[in-house]
Amino acid sequence: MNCRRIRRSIPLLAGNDLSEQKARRLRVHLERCEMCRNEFGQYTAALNKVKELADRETLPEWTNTEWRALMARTISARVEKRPFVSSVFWNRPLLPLVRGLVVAVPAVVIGLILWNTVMKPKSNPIGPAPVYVHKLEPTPPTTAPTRQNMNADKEPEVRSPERPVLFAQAPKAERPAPRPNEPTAAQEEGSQDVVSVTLVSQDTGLKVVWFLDKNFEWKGEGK
Amino acid sequence: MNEHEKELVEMVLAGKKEAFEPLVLPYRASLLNLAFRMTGNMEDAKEAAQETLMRAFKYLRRYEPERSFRNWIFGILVNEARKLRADKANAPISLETKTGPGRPLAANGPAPGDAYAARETRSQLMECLTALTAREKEIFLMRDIEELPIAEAAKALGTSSISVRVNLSRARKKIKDAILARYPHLAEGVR
Repeated sequence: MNCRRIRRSIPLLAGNDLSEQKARRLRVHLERCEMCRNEFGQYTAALNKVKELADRETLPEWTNTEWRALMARTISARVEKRPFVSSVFWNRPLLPLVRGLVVAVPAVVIGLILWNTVMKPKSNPIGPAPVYVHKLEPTPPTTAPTRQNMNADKEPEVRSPERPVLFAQAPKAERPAPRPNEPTAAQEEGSQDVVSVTLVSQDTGLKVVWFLDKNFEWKGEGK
Repeated sequence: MNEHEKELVEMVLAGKKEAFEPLVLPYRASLLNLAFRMTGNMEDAKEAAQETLMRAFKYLRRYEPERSFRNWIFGILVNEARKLRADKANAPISLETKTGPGRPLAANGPAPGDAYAARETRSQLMECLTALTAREKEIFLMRDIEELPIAEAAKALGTSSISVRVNLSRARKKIKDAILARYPHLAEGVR
């Protein structure tokens, strides 16, 4: 060790505040180094002088009257009662368990939150294609296209401008006769016969409308 | 903690308040001395020591029997002295009450000769302690005057042993310089 490092430890050595091992190493150095030895001697002499001054110092004392008055005032107070929380955990062997729980419970909760966040399956960032279902107004049966007549009749259909194709209705006449177990028309009042599904391409903006009957039979399409 | 003190603590906690006086009597002088060296004046020292005894009685149930009772009560004293110092530092100073209306500021202070005399009557040790910061003074007094072990001093002061060692080193260096300035022959003697 060099003198600079030794001198940092000399104040503690002078008050016997170093470990045995470190103190021995320092003493070996002091035997060889006169400068450090002088420094150590000064510290020891100064500390001895301080203790001598402290012993010689005459300090004022409490008089007996003052002391008695102080004691009377002190014991007139009440000793603090043991608080409820501390009395629950007063049993010392329980303390490590309580401390362990205080650390473990939040750690488990945080772990579970992180696990859910990391391991959750990632959903499609774009999301599913939108599906629009329109409830249609009843219209005359002739306006509803069917697979048969669309295939058979290739001529362009004449549509009135104020009635877009979107609002098509399956013809009531084409509805199959209800079976005995099926609900009657009166029972079905309020339920819809034709639904339309609008598919919109997110890339091109192209929109296609499919018409389906209540059995999900394809009835036609529009734009 | 010795058995006698343990018994006295248990008696106080059981409701025999009179047992408190024999419990603190051995520290009657040392408490006041330590308070005086920390605060620097007798009035504050008495206030801090009184408050210490009252708090020790009130919170005796918090005392851990494996610790030394003396070190525990010294710890309370350190806190009280700190509190007193903080209160004094934060107390507003009114010029009117200090000097009185219409009186010049200098007329109320001590005459230069009186100040010199007061400094002379102050103890040599107290003069040396003025070289230290409040923290260093606490640590130096606890370790070198009251001779508490470093670990106990750290506990009483509410700090770590490393911090105590660092501050103790600094304090001893300042005290050495102050002592050698007053007693130069000590430096000669070691050569």
